[in-house]
Amino acid sequence: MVKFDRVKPRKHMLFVPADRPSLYRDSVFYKPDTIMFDLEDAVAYSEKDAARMLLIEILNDIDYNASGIETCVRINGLDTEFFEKDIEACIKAKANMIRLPKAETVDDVNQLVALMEKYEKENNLDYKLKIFIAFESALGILNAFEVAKASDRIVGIALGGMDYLLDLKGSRLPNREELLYARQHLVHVGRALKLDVFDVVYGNTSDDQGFINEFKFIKSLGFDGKSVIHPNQIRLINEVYKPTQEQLEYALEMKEAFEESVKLGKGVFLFKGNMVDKPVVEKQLEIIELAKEFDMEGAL
Amino acid sequence: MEKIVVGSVESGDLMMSISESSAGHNEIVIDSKFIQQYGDEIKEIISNICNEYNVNNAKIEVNDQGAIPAVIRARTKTGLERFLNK
Repeated sequence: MVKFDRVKPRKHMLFVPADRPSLYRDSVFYKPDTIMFDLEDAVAYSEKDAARMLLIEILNDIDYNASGIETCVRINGLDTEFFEKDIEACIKAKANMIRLPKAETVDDVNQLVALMEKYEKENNLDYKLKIFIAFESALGILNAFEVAKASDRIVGIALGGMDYLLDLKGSRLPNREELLYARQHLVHVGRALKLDVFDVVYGNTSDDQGFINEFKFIKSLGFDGKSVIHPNQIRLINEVYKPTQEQLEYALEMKEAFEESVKLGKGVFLFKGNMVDKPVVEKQLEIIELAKEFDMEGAL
Repeated sequence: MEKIVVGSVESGDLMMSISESSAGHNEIVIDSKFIQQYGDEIKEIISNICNEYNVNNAKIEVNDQGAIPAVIRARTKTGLERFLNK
């Protein structure tokens, strides 16, 4: 059983520091697909207990799912004293998903799942939290396929840029060429296992064009979305994702032609001079679904 | 004795300090722009959590910046846990 059924694809996950009460409230208005409450890097060591408590109390009060928003919590890593307490807090907060940072081995996932099961049982939870895995090291990237299929709770994987770069002993390049291998590897893992694949954050929140360029690039590689650190980046992702009116009209015409061909019992059909089969139609149906999400005329 | 401090004076939050009271009961002092509307409610939330935690010798000073009940509960619980574990 799941707590929250998604009706739209994950395109953006908004990082929200878990120790800032006002951001819990404000983040709803930006309509991210997923809010990722961060117990890890955003929270000082001395405030981890306070952040966990805010998470539990506020998530039990504000129904993000009612606004179509999925809740995720980035916990502290296995190598920290906070790991188990964070998992317990996620269960008590009744979040939808846990993001595991710095994953490297199948055993990392097994330890996480064992603790999730323990606290779900203790708290009589009637659903299972999902898992998003972040790979942030060379070992993690190389093991990604095995790690990402270690549990059926895993719904997505992500690249963590900063730690990965440090681990590589590389340098940041103007177009992030140093990430290319990891990006392409994770897209292959994600597609092979039918998981969502998310890209690194873009740190310069005032550089809209740079963000759009990078997003279009990673989308071409096959990524589903990007972790974001500023609400404005949600708008920019939506602009890239939103179909044009022409794309929508084309998709609607193809849908109509497809429905006609189904009535006639045809497997493939001719559309505007090209032979079209089911996978091509499915791509166009996705465009119609996206258009609905953006309330586009004709799609509803 | 050292005071426990939790929270902040950011909008939507509250700052709470907790120390031992010599009054023989809990003392709750609230400073809030919303004292007329919500003062009693804030005090009741804090008082109930003190009972939950079996704390009856604390002086709790609150600087409220418009915290919602969930935030008041969270800050009080964290403050009392720190107070009890100090």
